[in-house]
Amino acid sequence: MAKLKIENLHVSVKDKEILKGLSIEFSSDETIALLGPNGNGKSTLLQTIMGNPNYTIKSGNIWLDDKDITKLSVDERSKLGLFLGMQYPSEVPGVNNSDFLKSALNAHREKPVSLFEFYKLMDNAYKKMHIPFEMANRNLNEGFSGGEKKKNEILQMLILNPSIVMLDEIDSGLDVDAIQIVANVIKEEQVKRGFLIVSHYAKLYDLIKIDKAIVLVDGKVAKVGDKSLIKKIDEQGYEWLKAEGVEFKKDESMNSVSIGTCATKEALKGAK
Amino acid sequence: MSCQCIKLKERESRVLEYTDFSDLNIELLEGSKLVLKLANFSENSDIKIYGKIRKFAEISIVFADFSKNFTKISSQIDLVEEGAKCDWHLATLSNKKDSKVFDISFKHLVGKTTSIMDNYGVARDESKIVFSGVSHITEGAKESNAKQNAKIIVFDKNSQGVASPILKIDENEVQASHGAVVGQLNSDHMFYLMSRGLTYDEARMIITLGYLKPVSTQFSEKTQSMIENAIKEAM
Repeated sequence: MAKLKIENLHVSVKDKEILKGLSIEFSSDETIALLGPNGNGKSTLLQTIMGNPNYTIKSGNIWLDDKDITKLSVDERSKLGLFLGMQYPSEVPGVNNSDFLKSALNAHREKPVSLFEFYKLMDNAYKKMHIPFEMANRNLNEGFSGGEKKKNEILQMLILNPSIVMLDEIDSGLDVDAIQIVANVIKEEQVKRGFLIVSHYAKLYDLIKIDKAIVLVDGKVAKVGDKSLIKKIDEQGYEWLKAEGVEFKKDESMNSVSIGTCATKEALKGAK
Repeated sequence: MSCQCIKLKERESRVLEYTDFSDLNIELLEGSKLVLKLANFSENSDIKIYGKIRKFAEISIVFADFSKNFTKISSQIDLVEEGAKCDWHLATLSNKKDSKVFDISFKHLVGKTTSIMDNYGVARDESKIVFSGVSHITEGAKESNAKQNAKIIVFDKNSQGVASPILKIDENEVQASHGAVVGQLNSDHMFYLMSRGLTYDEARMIITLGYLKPVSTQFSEKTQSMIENAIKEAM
């Protein structure tokens, strides 16, 4: 069983501090729902755990079991069993989906996968995700609809078999049937791996087992609870947390961030 | 090296593929069609291509350049009669201290003629790629169509890319478009690929293969494998 430990993490994007001393611990037999208003650090946390170089760790550590992975490269973290299902999966021109999956799979193994084994894995994953097998020959996410991209993320998870899976708004862009397909797969996979799931909608959380719900506000853990916390937030929003003493920091540079916008995406706009 | 002449008779169709070639002089007579696939693996190449395309004749040139050191490719295609068409697709990869110049020009001498140019390049290490040339629609060449598209990815701090093809239009009733981009490797693509376990070098390789794929896949299997080897060697 793998254990991920985030210890007093301070993270900045373009010199703007987004995570302000965040600590979370969870293991590969748990599923955590990560909630919080827009622009409060959920995506930043996931991207930082995966090692995105656009996010600078000012202090704190990330441990996977007994290994400090704070300074490891992105590919090394993947090889140790971390997986991030992206909010905006990249379209990579000319890179064939199937060739890419084979290279990615081989990167996790000592011996290259045999053609037969690879075919079996692919066939199984495509069937589970209800994706036509022909899409394996298309370019990676190129011309995919929003929903197809998200399903393709889960498909990659099935192929790569990670121990800790982080899903960043995997349900956005999915229609009702697709949410059900994704939820069914997550439910089936929860016995094999841990999930850290960011979503703004209770629908996905309703369909899967949730061990813990964590609310992030202003880059820190503001509230921890069980599945009932998700229900309360779904019905009442986040305002009630103020009465419990949670501080929602008013930040001028965040004024441009509206619902549906990610704070880090805004912050990165000027960086590229 | 001597000049090689390719002449197609009226309404003749041919597909030719060369991995070893010198200067080329091409003439396509009325209604003929030529697909010319050129893969250049030589060292210090200075190659000139001249083409004269006649009535409703069409030439498609697919050029894969994996040459080394100094490379100068000059191409001048004249569209001399109505309905003449040229498609030009180039992919090139430079590394170490390579210096490569591609001067690709088209002249629309009469109306209803078409030229399409797609140039893709990847420059790494201290190498340099230049895409230049002129698509010229002359006076009176009404209803002609010229498109230019040039893209270069510069991989490293000291790699250079210059994409400056020129459109010269001396007639009003024409369609013309022009796009030139020189940029660095997309950091989001790199993060995405690496998050699936590919190393930095593997991710760069897979992006390069994908970027050059529209041209490399046009060749025979044998040449494709030579191209893949050349890319692996250069990366």
